[in-house]
Amino acid sequence: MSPLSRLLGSIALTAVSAAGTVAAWAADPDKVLRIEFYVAETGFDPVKVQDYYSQEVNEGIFDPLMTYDYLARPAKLVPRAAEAMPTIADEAKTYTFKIMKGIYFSDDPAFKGKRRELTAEDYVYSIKRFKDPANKSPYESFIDGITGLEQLKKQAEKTGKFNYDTKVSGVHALDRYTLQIKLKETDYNFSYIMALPNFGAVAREVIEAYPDDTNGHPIGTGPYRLKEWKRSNKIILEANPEFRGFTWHFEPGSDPLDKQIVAAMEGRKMPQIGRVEISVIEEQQAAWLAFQNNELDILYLREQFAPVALPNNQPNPALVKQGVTLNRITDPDINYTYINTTDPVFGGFTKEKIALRRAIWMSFDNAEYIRVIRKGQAIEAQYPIPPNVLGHDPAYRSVAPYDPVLANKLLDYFGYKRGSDGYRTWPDGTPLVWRYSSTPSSRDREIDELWQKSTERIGIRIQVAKNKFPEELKQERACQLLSRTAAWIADYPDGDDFMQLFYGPNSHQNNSSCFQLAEWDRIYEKTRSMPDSPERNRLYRQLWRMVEVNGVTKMHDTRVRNMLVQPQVVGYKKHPILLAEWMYFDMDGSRRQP
Amino acid sequence: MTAYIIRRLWQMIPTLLGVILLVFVLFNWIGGDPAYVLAGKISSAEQIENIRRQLGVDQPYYVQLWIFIKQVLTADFGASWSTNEAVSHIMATRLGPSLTVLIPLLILSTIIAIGLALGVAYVRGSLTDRVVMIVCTVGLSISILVYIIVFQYFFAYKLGWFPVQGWGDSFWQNLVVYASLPVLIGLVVSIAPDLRLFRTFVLDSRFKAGATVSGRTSSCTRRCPFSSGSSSASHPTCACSAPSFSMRSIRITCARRVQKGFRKTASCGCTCSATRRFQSSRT
Repeated sequence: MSPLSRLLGSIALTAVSAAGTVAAWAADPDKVLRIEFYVAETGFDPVKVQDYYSQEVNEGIFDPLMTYDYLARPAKLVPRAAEAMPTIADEAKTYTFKIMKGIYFSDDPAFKGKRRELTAEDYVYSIKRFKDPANKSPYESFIDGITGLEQLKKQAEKTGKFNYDTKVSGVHALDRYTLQIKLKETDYNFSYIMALPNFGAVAREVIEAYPDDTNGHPIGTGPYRLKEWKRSNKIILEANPEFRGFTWHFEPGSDPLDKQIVAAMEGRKMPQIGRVEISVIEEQQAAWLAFQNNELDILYLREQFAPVALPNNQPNPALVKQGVTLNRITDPDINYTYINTTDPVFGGFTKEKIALRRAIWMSFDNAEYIRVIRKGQAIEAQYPIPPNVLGHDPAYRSVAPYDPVLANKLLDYFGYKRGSDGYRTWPDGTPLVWRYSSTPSSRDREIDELWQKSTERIGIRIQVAKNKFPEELKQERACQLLSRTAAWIADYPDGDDFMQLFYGPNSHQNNSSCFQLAEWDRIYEKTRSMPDSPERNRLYRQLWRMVEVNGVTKMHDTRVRNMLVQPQVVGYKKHPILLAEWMYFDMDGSRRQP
Repeated sequence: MTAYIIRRLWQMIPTLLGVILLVFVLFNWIGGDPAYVLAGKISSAEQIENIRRQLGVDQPYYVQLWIFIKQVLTADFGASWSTNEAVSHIMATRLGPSLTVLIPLLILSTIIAIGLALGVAYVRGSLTDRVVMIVCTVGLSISILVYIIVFQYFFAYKLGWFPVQGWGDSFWQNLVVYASLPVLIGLVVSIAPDLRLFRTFVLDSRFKAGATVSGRTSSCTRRCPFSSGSSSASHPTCACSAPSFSMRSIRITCARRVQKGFRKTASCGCTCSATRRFQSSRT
């Protein structure tokens, strides 16, 4: 190349890169996405919030290190703020993340007019914040595995102030863009934790500039930033001009919808949507009517209107005429009822007790439950790991299906004779009462009635105990609750998140049934040091068999999520784990029906 | 007079204390422990303890009560436990929209109810009167929740006269566009009982020349039909007063001639018939 052309080339390059720093990937401000939240948000400090909707907004504002591929099913981890997948060493005890260079925080007065680049130290600070007692973070236990943080926390509890400047061996920056994390034990799922929106990076200057209102000043490196916030009413987000942008490229899966999406979106500069308007609409009819009026672009259709909107689980003719499409996925959750096996009366592992528990489970009709309570918007669950989560077994069949005839025979065999009032007593003749706890909500009242119907089928007397939810949780944590219908939704798409619900040492936390069996715990601990594999799945089946054989729980269902989508939304596919997919799809005003 | 005011003022203090104590007991006993819900999905006992420490609920009850009393005296509403938003800010932001709906509703419902009451009372006893009363009774028997759902469906969604939901930024837009359907629903619900009540007052005042509303000294010209044989007075004068438009406590004071203070004795039969008449014209 001649010196002149080289000179011209370098001038052009500088010009392009200068232009590149100014809105080369700017989203279109005329593309406005209008969605709704059913429950009000709480705030936007990623450390302090745990509710679904606050986390949804945080996912758009902050950058966690990892995220999930938009189209891949089951969910596949891919890097977000990280350059590439982490280097995992020492039997998954050391994780090293390299952060992308050139990521900038959105502007804030706390940065004193300078552009603020994202560094590894920001992640160190963000992770440390979880252990600060003053933050009382609900997600604190997710990073219990990191070495060295406990000391900092204990020190903070003694002195009343958390020392963020102390170096911690478990989480530190090797250099400006490299983050290294050391764990106490082998954990193959740590990268999943780093995909949670709670672990998005915050800037220390911003947190220290607004110590009393971190919830109201979310400054992140993500594609969106908070423009307007009318609490519990409206949230308006606009595209972050400092966002690095990306080019849309995802491999289609087997779903025919994927091919359509790829055809529409491949190669586009993202994000396209320039503005997201979120209305908090707590009344289901208001949201449903607003959607039909084209005041909302995407609606999470709740069960109440499912029979009207989706006869036969397809959009009704009026919706089809409007060009509305349905995006239907199963949530990675399970709903189950348990009996506390440490209870002195109903617990224990003798044959009579096991028979009683299994008979109770066999009296309950899941199909009726799905029809009546869920209005058909759920699928029966037989396995503790739901579909699209690693470790799910679609072939597994429960040892206690709906069979009231067999249940009655079983109880007769073990000597649960019916008394003069028609209800069964214990084999020794003492009266038998099954205490089932629930909250005063209308949904729980309906479930109570189903349980009453079920126990009538086998002649067991049920006593429904009503408690407010916090009180129920408190009793459950103390292993004082006999039975409750509980739910669990995945934090990350790995089966371990579900199997740990039955781990003995997790009693008094999220092992709600307080199930404790030494042999079970031993096998489970083996699975913890295994990545997802056929071997691990074999152990999971064995573990679940043990739980079922002992009559600990009855699995009910996995919920189905129905998203109704207006025709002007292009390239939308609801992700099972991601909460906010706004940066992955597009709006096309020309397709809007008047 | 001053003595009276001072006496009433210091009598407020034990009342207030009683209320504070009652509220405190109710919220702590029935309200439940917030720490478990705030603690999140996976939390150990010590994390829950930490939350209780941060919220201040781990301190003994008398300490918490004293803090509560201090907050009441300084009007410090504190902050929400879940969102950390100042409660005074929550109330301040909610006050605007609430008043935008309530004040027009109050003004309109009073004007319309009084107007209609005058009209209906004029044709008292006629078919119009009876029909309107029946419609009112039916109207106020239906729950407001039903009105909300039905009106939202028909007037907002089907006919498109109002927006289905939402709230704007400018005061006039809110007043005219967004508040109109809530005000309409409020009118439908509140006009019925108001109309019946105002009709009663209008009718009642037609029979009493010179009856004043806050009667200390007023007299009926009508003779009391049942005289219960009360001692002295030749013919008892009844002062019929309705101190307020309160629905439940319409006090009829009966007094003889000019009274000096309020006398709540109902010794003359005027009370009975008047009360009965009031009662019969109100459901």
